[in-house]
Amino acid sequence: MTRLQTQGAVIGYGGPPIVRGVDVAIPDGRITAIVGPNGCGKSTLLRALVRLLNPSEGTVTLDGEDIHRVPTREVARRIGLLPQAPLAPAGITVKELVARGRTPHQKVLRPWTAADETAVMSALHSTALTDIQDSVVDELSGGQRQRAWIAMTLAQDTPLMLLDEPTTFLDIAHQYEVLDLLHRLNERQGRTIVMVVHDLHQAARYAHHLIAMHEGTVAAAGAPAEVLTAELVRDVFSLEARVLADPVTGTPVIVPAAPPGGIHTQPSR
Amino acid sequence: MRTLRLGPLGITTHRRTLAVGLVLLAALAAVAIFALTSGQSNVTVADALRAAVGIPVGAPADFIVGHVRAPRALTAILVGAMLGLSGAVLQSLTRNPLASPDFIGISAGAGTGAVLTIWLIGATSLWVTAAGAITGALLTAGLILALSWRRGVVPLRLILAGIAMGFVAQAATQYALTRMDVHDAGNALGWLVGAVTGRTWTHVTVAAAMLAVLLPLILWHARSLRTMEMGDDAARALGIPVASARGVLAVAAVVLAAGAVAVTGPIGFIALVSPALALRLTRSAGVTLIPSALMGALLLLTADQVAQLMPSTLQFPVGIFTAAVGAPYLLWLVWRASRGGPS
Repeated sequence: MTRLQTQGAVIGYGGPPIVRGVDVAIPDGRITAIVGPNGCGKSTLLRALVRLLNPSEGTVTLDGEDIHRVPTREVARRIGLLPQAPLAPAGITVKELVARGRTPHQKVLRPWTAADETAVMSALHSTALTDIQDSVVDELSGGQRQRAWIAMTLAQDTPLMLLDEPTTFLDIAHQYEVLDLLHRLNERQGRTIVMVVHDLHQAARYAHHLIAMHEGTVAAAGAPAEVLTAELVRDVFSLEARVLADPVTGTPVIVPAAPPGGIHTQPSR
Repeated sequence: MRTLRLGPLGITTHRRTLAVGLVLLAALAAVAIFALTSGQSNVTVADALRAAVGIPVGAPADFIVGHVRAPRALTAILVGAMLGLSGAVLQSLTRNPLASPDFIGISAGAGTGAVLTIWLIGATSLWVTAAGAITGALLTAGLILALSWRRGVVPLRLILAGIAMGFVAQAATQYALTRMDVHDAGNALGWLVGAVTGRTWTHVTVAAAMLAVLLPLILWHARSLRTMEMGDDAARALGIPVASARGVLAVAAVVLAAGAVAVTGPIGFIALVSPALALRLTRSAGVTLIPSALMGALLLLTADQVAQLMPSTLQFPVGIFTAAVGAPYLLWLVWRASRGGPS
């Protein structure tokens, strides 16, 4: 089943289209990773999926309805987004930031409700931020800050969560911390997660469904073990590589081939 | 957090914001009472309050308070609130502490609009001058936006374009002054200094009418404003109709600034400083509208009182006084920015 999909979507910013007629279907209750080289249109596709961009041709449908016919606030109650570079207002605390996630559920002149408070506390708990809920976001480590933003998206309480490069700018331990968190949220709360990621190994390890994009089109989509082949890596990323099995999870791992003449610090084969 | 309720309606705010609001309100009331009672002829608090609302208490309070001090103090309070609110909205929309209407040419544009109305159609009614000021300010704002537009608004370009447009507007005002009837030009010049002296109940009515329309409109969009501080994508993903909310808020802020200029002439720095002071006091994350408005009201009323306390040979219009106080703040902002600190 899929609640969110595109049909022949052509998406751009006014100039030549960045995404050129793609059909993608986001499987419900699974983790989908969108991968591809820089400029392939993966962030553009993600932005169209959450209605930040309007396809010039084709459609994005949410629950069978053209997403552009769904009111902004209604979209925000079904799809949460963690943008690539959100701005934390100066001096905002973790809890205040997470509370901002309740915006689509609030109305002018209606007070903060018990339901709002429950959603915020549960988001803080899921992201292990309860103990530092009163800390100022600017003063947190990169990993904690990213968790706070994810908690804000969680408090929005949407069945679908979209994340634009949630691990970029984090050191490696924090990258896995964030990915483990997303995995947990998917397993325990059944949230549908769509993320744009750079690292193919991470994508293959955490996603159930992989969408590989190349020059504005979908080069391949499916289970990582089927999609991630040496041919795909060559075609999409222009990289000669071997595909091995991750010794821990069995998921595909990309190992780039040695350059001609070998790498001087390694003994040649 | 604390919730104020009225039936099913209610607003939730931080205790600290609420406390700061109440303290500002109390300070405002105290300075207002001082403004009504002190001066050349002393009036008791009870008489002053009665005379201010039009209950006869006998001469000289009926005239001094009812026709001089009360409209002057109320004008200062209302215009200060308009400026504080306008600055808060503009600074929040542009995410830049320098973006106040007096700084980015909006007030200058309003001044040009008002002076042109006086010159070209011989306007004598404050309502007509105000309409001219609003038109001038909106046109200036539109030009600033057009000049700084590069697939969206770049705050620094906006501020530079605003400063440039401010000079253009001032030049236009100067030109109009040289071509006007000497008597009109004299009046316009006095008004262009920025003052609350000699203001009547008509001034109070104009300011109150504008605030009565625009304050609720801005407060209605307060949540959108705060959410947009997190970036457009984040705001839209949280269900905020960013384009329309920004349009409404920007027009409301520009019209408020223009109204303030029409009533008192351009008074600098209140709109720049009030939101920043309100933020510091409330320690609010993001824009805090009511405290900014109260701070603006308190600053302008107090500045006018301090200006009046000066010996009569040294008395000067309040606009000059606010500039003298505001300029150091601006220097401090620049100094801090040049050290690469948070802005």
